[in-house]
Amino acid sequence: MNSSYKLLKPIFLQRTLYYMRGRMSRSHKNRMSFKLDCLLDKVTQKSERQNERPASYLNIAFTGFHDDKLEGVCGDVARVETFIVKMCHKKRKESSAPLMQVSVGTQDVNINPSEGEGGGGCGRNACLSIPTHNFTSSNGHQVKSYVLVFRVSLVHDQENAGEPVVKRRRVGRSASQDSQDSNIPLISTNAINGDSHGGVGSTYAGELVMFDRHGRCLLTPGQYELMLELQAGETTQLCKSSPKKNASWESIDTLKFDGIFNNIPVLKFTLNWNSENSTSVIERPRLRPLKPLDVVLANSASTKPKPQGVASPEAPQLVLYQFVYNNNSRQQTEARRDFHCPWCSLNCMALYSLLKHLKLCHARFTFTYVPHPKGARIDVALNECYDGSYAGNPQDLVAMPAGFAFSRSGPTRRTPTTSVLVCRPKRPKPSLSEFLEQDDDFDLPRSYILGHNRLYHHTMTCLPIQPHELDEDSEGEHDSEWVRQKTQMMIDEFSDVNEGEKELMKMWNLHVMKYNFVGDSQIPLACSMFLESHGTELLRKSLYRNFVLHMVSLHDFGLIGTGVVYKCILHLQNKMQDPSVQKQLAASWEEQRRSSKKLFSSYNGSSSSFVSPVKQESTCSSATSNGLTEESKSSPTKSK
Amino acid sequence: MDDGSIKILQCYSDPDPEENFYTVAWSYDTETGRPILAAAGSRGVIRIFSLATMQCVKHFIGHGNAINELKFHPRDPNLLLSVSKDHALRMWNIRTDILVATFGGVEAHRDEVLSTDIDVEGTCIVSCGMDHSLKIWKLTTDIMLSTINQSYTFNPSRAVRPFPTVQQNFPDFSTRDIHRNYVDCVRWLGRFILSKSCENTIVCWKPGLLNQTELKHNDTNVTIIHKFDYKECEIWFMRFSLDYWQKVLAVGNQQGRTYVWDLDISDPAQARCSTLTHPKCVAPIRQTAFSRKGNILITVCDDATIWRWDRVAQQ
Repeated sequence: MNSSYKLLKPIFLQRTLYYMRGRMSRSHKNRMSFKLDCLLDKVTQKSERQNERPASYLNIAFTGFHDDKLEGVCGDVARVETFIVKMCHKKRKESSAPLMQVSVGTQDVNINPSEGEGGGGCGRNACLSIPTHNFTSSNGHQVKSYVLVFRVSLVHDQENAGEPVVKRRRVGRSASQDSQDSNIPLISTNAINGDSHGGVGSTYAGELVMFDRHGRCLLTPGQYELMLELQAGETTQLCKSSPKKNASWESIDTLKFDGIFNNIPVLKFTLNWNSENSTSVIERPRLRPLKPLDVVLANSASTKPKPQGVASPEAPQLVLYQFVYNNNSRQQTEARRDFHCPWCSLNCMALYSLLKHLKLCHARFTFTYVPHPKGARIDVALNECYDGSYAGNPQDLVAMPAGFAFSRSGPTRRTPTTSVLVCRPKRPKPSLSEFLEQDDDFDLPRSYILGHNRLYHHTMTCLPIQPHELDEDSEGEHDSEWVRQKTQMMIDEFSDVNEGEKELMKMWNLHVMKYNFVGDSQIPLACSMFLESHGTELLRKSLYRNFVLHMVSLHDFGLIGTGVVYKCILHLQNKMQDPSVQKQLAASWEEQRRSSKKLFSSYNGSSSSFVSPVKQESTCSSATSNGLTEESKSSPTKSK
Repeated sequence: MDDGSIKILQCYSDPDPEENFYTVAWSYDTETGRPILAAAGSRGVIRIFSLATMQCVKHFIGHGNAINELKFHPRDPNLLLSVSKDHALRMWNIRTDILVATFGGVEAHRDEVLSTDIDVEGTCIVSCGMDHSLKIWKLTTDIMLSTINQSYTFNPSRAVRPFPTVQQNFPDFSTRDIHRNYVDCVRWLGRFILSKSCENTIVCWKPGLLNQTELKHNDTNVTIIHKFDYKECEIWFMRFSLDYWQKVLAVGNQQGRTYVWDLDISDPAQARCSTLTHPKCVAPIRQTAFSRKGNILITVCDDATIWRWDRVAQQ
């Protein structure tokens, strides 16, 4: 198989190959002592260990909620609820990536505080501390990222605090707003352009993604201004909408970022990571370099393969590749210091594994190992015996239209083919000697599947036998139409046989070919079946005497006994009792008498070229027939 | 082109470099009306090209050897007839990809089948070959008509048995009395047949006696109507052609000379012959073809040259 194709669409794992033990980092040594009950303990211990770290906190100090559209509400307070949304990787059988949302705190924050008030403002408690163990990957689900969602709702209205909801004085300028909730459509793209309705009861939401694709923490300590969007009603939506749906084009004429935030509701806060839980106002954020959380990284780091078994990773040696080609007249050499395959860059960890990998996965070359003082030399040559023929289902190649079987237009019936997936033959002990120069290659890889994946063809048309035609064997040459036609034509060509005889023999031959009588012992049966199916027809064509002659011939050759002859003729005579048959017989007999009389009288006394019609009375003992004459018309000699 | 030149429009190359195309035939896709071209040759594979998409859309395998000629049914553009070195003729329905009939076997050709033609009404096929014989096969028998119909409705995925391809072993007429060598080209001329061998003659003849209208299977009579003689054409696989209206006949010889007869006369004995020559045209002319109106004749030679001859109006 093509090695580059395997890179794109691998069908097996390298670490499970028997010669690649170096890549298998798991061991089964714990299986002996494993007990199911201890699973829970293991997990709780692990999470406790994490909690034992010096507690770190993510501290957020809200400084204010700014929205230019909210007039005259300086000094009012909005409620900020913070959620952590955990986005996990989708497992194979789940329909969508799991999302979990947890609320971690609610704070009150000033609306449109003036600049000079510093962080926190107004002395209110606007700080939030989130312990970092909230941001760990949990059991069962691998976490993609965490997102902090801030939901700001304008419910606090000092003036309207005591009055019922309906009567509350509107805070915003939009006159069309009826009630405090859910009639406000979500205008996602327009919100940024400043066309939103605002006011009491509206909810704004903003998101802050915590970790990027590589698990690095994006939340550097500092001051943040988060753009918020108006949300419809009180639905607690999870941030499910794809970024594409809420995306919009923004033209950046002057690339001044200051102006962007002028018309958009913004939540301002200060963020830092601290080892202590802080509920007080932080005055000055401490800048720290971007550093990934240990917790996150510890789970996603790939473990290094540990040396095990046969192919223990060896000290880096010199591996010299010598490619000899063009009938040994040219060569190309390459030297490497590790055990990576030069073609597919696979780290084989050991010399034996490397050689085995080269021989099996890059079978278009032959590799011969020659020990070298500094390491190893591998002679590479083109493999003349490589069989690159198609090894799949041959039906797929001939299906019409071309390539149909490889398309995905629906299920089609296919012929069963065999592919070997796992094979565990007895193997010799791995040693480097199998790669040494071979004098005779008795070791050619033989296919394990012999003669199963075959394409058969119809005999007459040479067209491939389709899978749905496999049920019935259509190749049997039994009673072909052309054979029947040919025998009739050949019998007709006889020049020295009278018409009646020809007709009878045609009927008899067709009968025998149809039922395929092959043995002498079957002839009595053939005779009786013949009479069953063709008896009446015989009589109608006036072939009685011809049939009798035929019976006699069969008897003469010992194929039937006298009893059979007797029975058959009796049977035929019984058929003659049928009145309709009798009428026909009588009519044809009359006709023949008349025509032969005419001939006789006109040629009376003439030359010897005259052929006299033969008239014979039937002499059957139990005959009720009267005067059956044999059909005899002289037939002209036929030219071929 | 109108200015008298030739312009190449499309070119197709078989992926197998060993392929040699011997024959082509034009038809059209009955669903889209677009022209299609069928081509076949030494590999025994029929390829169908869609000229609009410039792709080979179908191929048909099954002939046991090279294919010498392809012909489409004049009334049904989906029925394609192919004759082969494997001694047989095959009729394919190229719309449904079904082999409708094979014409071969005990009384069929005994050597390579070299040429074939279907008459203008689509009732009879005439075929000829290396066994010196010409055979006529009727397409109007019950079994043929019903199988052709069935080939349009047959659904392979729902069928239990393979398609019941007609295996026609017996021609409706056969003769070896016209020529004494390989018969390498045959065409219908109404109810008459034009055929040639490598004896420097195109023979116009009919099966049976002169006034006989029906075909008899073992009829030994043939009536020769006329012979068109020419010179220096003693190699085989040299084809003549008729124009669409069957008024002009043209054949080339092995020296590069083309003979043209005007057939639009009542007495065949008075058919006049013109010869077309050019000092540079000296290689054997394998095939000739007329344009639809009959005023342009194309001949092709063994030295890979193509010659265009325009009919000049008589003054």
